[in-house]
Amino acid sequence: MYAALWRTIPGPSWFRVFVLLCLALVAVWACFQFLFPWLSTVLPFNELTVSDGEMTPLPDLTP
Amino acid sequence: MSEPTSPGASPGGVMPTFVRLERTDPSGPLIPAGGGAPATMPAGAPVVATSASSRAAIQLAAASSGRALTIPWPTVPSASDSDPRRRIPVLAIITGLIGELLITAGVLLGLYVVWELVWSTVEARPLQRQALEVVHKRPGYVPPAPDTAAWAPEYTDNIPEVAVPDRGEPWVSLHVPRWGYKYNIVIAEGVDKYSILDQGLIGHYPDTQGPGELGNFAVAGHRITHGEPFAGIQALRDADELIVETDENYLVFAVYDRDIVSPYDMSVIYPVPGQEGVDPVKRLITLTTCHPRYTSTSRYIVWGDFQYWTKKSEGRLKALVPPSKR
Repeated sequence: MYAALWRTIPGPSWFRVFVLLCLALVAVWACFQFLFPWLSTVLPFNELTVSDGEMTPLPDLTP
Repeated sequence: MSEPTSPGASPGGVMPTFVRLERTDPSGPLIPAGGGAPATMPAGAPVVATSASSRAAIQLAAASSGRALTIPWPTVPSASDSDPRRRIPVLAIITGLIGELLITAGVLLGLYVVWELVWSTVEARPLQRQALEVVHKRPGYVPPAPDTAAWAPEYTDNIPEVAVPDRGEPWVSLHVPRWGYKYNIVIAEGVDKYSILDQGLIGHYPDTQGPGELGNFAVAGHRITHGEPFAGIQALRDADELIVETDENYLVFAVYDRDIVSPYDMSVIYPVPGQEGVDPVKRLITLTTCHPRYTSTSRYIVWGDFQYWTKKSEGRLKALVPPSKR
């Protein structure tokens, strides 16, 4: 997978390393911006309210 | 290409030693990498082994066959080679792919932990400040008295009631001197996780009373991550002030009890905590957050009892000024 990615990128090694670093940064940014915020609403690790299991959705808070 | 002879077949039981070989000419014989300068090779022997044992094996084989040698090397890639051992290694490709996916998943999980524990708070801090600005721009909001103002008189009766706004709206804010005299986090209406609590704000349980009303003003906040407004919940001691700043007034509560309960124990936010259907005679504040830290198997609850209130327009609140500056 990553070997194929390496072969796909043209140019000398330093350029490939540079391109891969940029791709990794974009991937991390996308995770922090979109994937993880969504994931945190799905995962049950960080609940803090008391409830009887019935929560009604609220409108978005726009400060 | 000269005829190959296997060194493994040589007498004396000498094991073949692997020597890296390469072809200088696509159709030519294999020669060892690095070692074999053609000028030093003896005539009729195109291969020079670089280690003593492989040299011995070659010499033995050469002695028994009397022919020039090349050593076959099974894994040197060759386009023209039709050796069945050089089929596409499907299993190796699949296991390699699975391995890379697992490594990627591990890195992603690590990144998620970093995001949750560190970055969510970095992102929530500006949202907390923005919400405070929104509250400060509410019509009727009175800014706190300047540092030169006198102490505001403290009242215990005629407690002003604050209208509870629509869901999602930030409306009052909480000060907790125990957590620092600058601590001031907005309380918004509702305890929706994504739109309120994950923005670093404190959420007011709908259907519980407003601040200063007879009953229970119950709020929830993150203890870790997302701005962690209740990070210091366990540092609260009896009589610590919990101060609700409304548009015009400060309402001061004092901590009197705490508990660790099940996440489904709604009775902690009843008008009279723990007792259903009882008419309240006290004005309480309830803080709820997760417990233990990093998990959410229980809830940490802190209760405060109403003490007094002051008008912001009448002076400074003594409880909000560090003792050294009073």
